[in-house]
Amino acid sequence: MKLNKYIIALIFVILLSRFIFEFSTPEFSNGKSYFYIKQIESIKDTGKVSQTEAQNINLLTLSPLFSYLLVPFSIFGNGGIKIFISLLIVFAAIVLFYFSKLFCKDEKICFISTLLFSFSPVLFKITLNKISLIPIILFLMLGIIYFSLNLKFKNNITYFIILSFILALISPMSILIAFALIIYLLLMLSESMKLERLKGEAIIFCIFAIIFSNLLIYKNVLFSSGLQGLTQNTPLDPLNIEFASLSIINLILSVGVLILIFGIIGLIASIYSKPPEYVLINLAFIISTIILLISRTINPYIGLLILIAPLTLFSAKGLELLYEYYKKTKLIRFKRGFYIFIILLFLISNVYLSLDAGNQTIKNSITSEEINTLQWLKDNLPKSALILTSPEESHLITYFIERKTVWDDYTLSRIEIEEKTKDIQTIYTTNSETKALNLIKKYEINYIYFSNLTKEKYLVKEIEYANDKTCFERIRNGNPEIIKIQC
Amino acid sequence: METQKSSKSSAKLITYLALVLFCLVILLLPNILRNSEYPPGEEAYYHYRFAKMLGAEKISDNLSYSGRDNFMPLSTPYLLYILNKTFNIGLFNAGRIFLLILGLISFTFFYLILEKFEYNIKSLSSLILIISPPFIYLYTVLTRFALPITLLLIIIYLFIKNKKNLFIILNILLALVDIYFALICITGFLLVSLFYKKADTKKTLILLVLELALVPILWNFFAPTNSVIQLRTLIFDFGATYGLSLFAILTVFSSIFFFWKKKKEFYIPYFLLIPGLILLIFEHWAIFLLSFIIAFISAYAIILMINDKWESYLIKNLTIWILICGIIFSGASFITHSFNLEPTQATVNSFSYLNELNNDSIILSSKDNGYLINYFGKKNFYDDFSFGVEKKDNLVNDIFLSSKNLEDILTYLNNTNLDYILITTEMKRQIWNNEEKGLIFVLNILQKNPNDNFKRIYKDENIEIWRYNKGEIQ
Repeated sequence: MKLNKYIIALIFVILLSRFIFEFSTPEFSNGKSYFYIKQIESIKDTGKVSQTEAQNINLLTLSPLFSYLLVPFSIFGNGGIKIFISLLIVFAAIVLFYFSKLFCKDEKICFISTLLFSFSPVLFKITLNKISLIPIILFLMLGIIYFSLNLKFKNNITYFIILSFILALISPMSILIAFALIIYLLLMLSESMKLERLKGEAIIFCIFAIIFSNLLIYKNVLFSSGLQGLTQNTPLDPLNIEFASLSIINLILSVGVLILIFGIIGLIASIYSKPPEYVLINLAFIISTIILLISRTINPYIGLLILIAPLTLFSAKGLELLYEYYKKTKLIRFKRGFYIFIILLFLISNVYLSLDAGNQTIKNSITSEEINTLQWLKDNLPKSALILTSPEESHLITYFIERKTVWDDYTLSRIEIEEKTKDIQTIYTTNSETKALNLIKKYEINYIYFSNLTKEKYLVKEIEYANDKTCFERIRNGNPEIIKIQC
Repeated sequence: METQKSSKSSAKLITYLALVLFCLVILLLPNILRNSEYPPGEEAYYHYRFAKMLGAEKISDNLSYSGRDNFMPLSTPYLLYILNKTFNIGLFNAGRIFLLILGLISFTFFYLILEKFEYNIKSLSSLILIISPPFIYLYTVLTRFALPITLLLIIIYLFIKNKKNLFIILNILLALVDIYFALICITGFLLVSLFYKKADTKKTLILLVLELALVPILWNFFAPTNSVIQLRTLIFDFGATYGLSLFAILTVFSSIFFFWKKKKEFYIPYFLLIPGLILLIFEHWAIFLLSFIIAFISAYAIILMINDKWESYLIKNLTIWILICGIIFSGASFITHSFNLEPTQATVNSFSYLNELNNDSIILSSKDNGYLINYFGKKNFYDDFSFGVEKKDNLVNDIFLSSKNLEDILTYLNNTNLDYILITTEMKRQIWNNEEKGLIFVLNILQKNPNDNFKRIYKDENIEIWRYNKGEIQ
């Protein structure tokens, strides 16, 4: 891989756009990030990940490799980790850029389509200022697919093997790629295409490596919960809330209008004639992600993000087709007009929405007021206190206050988690004190953590029944509000 | 030439002995390292109870609430009884030794059946078989299948070797041991004697497939079972009690991809898979038979992979190692898992409270606890072998799970002769998902507001027992 001007431009644009947001606050924008921070601190202290996070936390579904990878970057504080996450996005974009050259010969178009990916609103929403597994999964998946198409080149087999093992060890989401590769084999068969022996061997190896690593790391989860355990129950909250909130308009805006339009055009054009291997492998990726999304096995936003990568490649093809058409018109006199037009569209559709998503994310970052309250709670709450929070904030509590929370995202039982999610929502939204008290009693909750984020999530301004002073006491006002249960 | 031949045969003998030793160690490990003096498996206690009964009184299952006489073949209890009487080693030890001997015999005949195959295929197949979870389960947990499956292997060997007389004798013996297995053999015998003229492998295989598929289909036509196939009950790594190894199955599938061109070499074992899979639709224990076939195909595939020319030497080595490690991993996981198979020492200690109750008491619990309740001399409401298990299952689920109304529960219980309700922590986890609903909800309310109909008479960390008195709602 040779560094060219487009790569340099990509690195610059992506890092700049992300750093402007990320370094505007020293903290992270979601509770889960603090879960990783806690793991990093534990690794630094004891060499091992922390096993006693919260009340129900079940680290059986957590691969510790990612936390270990973060440790060297944490030397530079939160900033170091933010840089690492952003670099992973840059790497994924670079792989996409080179990959898109298979779909389109014009480097400028490849550059634009990669920008469409880098500025898709959902990417900002999920990865900006957050410690998340998604950037590394995305980078590794794209790397594996890219190398699998070019195995004959020197060292590519080694890279392919290394990336397959790292992906398999880092997340059970690696099952997605095993699934996609199986679909790829079926597509090859349906197209009566001859699979190169070396590629077949590599694919079989990759599938086995992923299954074996998952079996090894998540042995207990698989044994107690079967394959369902590997979904980590991440989609379960979205089952009720996020899936429901994903209307068609939301979906289109989250992915990015341009990627969707040109991606679909490119996809149709690519499979219309006899599709080459690189088209089939991306098609397999799209099919497998859609299947997992429909079966609600993966979080919708993560699924969408994974879907964007192959769509970006097809969008390069779509843009190229549009350029071919443009060349046939009289407008070709303004050769640069095409690129300017596309970049304008990109600025209007993607950049605006991404920056908005970035602003929202940064707005949700933990504030100094919240940190003060959390510190106060740490000093004043009994060690055995059980606190109710929204699912997103549970790790925040366990990190800052070191107390148990009702919810965490590593509970294995699907039924349990679904019921819990519903109950938590009821406690925050109901007007009925009896109903709320029954549920509070059920979970033996001592305190309710009511932050701005919770208010936004459940669309409530206040917990009305908490005005009954015989049973509830507001021990802290402002953001967050802390309510003590007294009966 | 002579010396070469003798050194070859001695090498074969050493390999065989080493494999026997390995089999012995693997089958002994779960017994040695088990944290309980009580053997694993619920059904085992049915056989132990009957073996105990054989010496004392006439044989009838007087503890069956369902009113059956005796449903299960008695060959295993008889052999346990004889073994115990002869060597005076206690029934549990007799059971352990009985299974160990059967395990070694079945391994030996599996090895002999593969006589015509290459030495390394034979050895690797044996190794994979020995560490496969179904094989270890079959010969460490006492069930009604160990004896007939071992006999079936001997019969197959005799069939291959064309030892007609012994073949007929063992078929008759099998009929005495288990009528279902005997049906398979007898139809096989009839088909072969009618159509099989000379050594024709293809024809023999077609006959075998016909035979093995025909019997379960006919059997289920007359006596339908409600076997439900789920991934979780088939594959050990996904939580099945005695499922197949995931990597052994993957090896079988990958062999289709790798050796499609050499499919002629594979058609015998793949052909044998078909009747095994048909049988599996109706009978879950078909997994035991499949484990023998899958061990052979996996070994065959691995040897072919090793001998085959790959484009990438690195990928070849890594893939083969992953497959081998995966197969070993399942076996090793099963052995560690088997140390804590139910009933554990703690469970048996808790159940021994049943000795304090009247002998004719009828106890409602899950069907898994049925044999253990019987073992302690009490009548169970139902077990795996009761008449109308499915119907009872539905009733129990209705009463256990859905009903939150004491009146409904009492209306149902008043129509039965139940005396006690026994609830284990395992039942709470499996049936109620550790939640307070259905019967648990009602019982917890009754605990706070004492009632004449229900009284909790025993509770420890494993079980709780409620006495039920018939009558109007209090």
